[in-house]
Amino acid sequence: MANRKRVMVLDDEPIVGERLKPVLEGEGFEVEVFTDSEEALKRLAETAFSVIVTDFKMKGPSGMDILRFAKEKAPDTAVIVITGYATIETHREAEAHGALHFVAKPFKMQDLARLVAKAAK
Amino acid sequence: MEARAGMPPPFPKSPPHTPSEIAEARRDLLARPRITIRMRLAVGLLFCFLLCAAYAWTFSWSRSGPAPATLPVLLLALLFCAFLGITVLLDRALMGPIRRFETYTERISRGDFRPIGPARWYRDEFTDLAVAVNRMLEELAAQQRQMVQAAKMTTVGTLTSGIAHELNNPLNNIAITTEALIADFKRLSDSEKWNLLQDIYFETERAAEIVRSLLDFTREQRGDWGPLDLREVVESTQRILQNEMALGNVLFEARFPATLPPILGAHNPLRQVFLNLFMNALHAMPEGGRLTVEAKASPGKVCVEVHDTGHGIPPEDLPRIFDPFFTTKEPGKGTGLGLSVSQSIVRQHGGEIEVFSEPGKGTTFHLCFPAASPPRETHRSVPWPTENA
Repeated sequence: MANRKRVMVLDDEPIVGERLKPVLEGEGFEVEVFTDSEEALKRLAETAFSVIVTDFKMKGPSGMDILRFAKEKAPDTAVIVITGYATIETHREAEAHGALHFVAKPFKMQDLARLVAKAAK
Repeated sequence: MEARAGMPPPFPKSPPHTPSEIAEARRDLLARPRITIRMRLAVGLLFCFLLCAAYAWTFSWSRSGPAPATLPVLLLALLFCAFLGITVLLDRALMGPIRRFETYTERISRGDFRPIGPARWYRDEFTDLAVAVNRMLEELAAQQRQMVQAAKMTTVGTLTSGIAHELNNPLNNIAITTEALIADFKRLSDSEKWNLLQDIYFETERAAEIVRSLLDFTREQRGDWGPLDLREVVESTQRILQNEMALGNVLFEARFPATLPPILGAHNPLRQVFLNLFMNALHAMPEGGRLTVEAKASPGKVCVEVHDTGHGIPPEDLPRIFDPFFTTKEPGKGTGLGLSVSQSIVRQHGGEIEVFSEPGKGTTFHLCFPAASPPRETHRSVPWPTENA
């Protein structure tokens, strides 16, 4: 595949990126993993991604900041938010800002991979 | 002052502090010979009666013989002195203890529920009163403990989001690592499998640690009074809130001198005080900020300042913040018990808590505790720092 779709995985838990990368690559995506949301924002300013999988609560800019910035830069970007804890309000707010899915931790990688694949279409 | 054999124990100069001192104060109260005010009055009156009898006898004797004119006057003067003596002694026996009880009520109304210890070498009606007051204090202290525990559980309740996040992260890591291991079991090399298993192991440890520290905090501990380092208390409290602080973009800074004298107290209640103060500080800085803890030692005292750069407290709320159930938070977000419970915990430690705040600039809580006195200078024969029973 010459033009593989780009997926960003952002979570300050390094294990999440480490495990998701091979699975998503297996699905045929080009995967970039970040653990620092500041760096992820910098990368987003340079390049557009088809799908962004981001943690919600993080040190520094939050998943919401990532969501807003990504949607502003490239409205087509599909954003999937993964989180350890979400209130109904944060869920609604994220959806109002255009988040495609809200996935609670702990999740199944196969489920998430399916969501990413569907979002990339 | 050492207790001599056979003598009742010496009187404590200050209220008892440790559980063993408290138990001893209660025992001491009843370990002394009982001399009631009635007994003293009876002895005095008996003495007067004897004087009167002597007077009557002298009078009858003087009638039969040559009458010495000065004798009856002398006895009358003696009788007068005896009555004066009884009056003064009764006054001392009544007024002294009443004053003493006045100071006790002052101490109790400040939230200091330590029992009344013996103040005299004998027992009297005021001792019975002291015993009754001590019983009441025990009851009050039990209620206080329940309130403290309830407030603690509420604090934990408001920590839920942080704890869920903190616990779901290692659980998620375990879940996805296990999934990776199952999916690729045949393809993975031994060392890759080993690495994945190690991840699972450490993430399990991490989850267990979170649960452990939480249980450690919620457990009700009573008998752990002793000399303790405030730095340790502050640092262990900060560890509970580490995640909340990092996620809330709050910078934490603790400034402690190289050596800080210990204070006498219980670790867990004090941790609750700092947890309440830190939580309030975090709530006052929704956009992030700086939380500083600075400790200083002055003669006989250890003081700690907890300062935040949050939105501050309006001057009209300031006098009420230590009142039970006073809260400015939305319903369900706070019970208004945190600061009131914190204040009573600080006072139980013989300390004081004060607040200074400027809207828009931040809030400072100033806490002072009496430094634990070195073993030689303690007023009691109670072993220190830990009992050797």
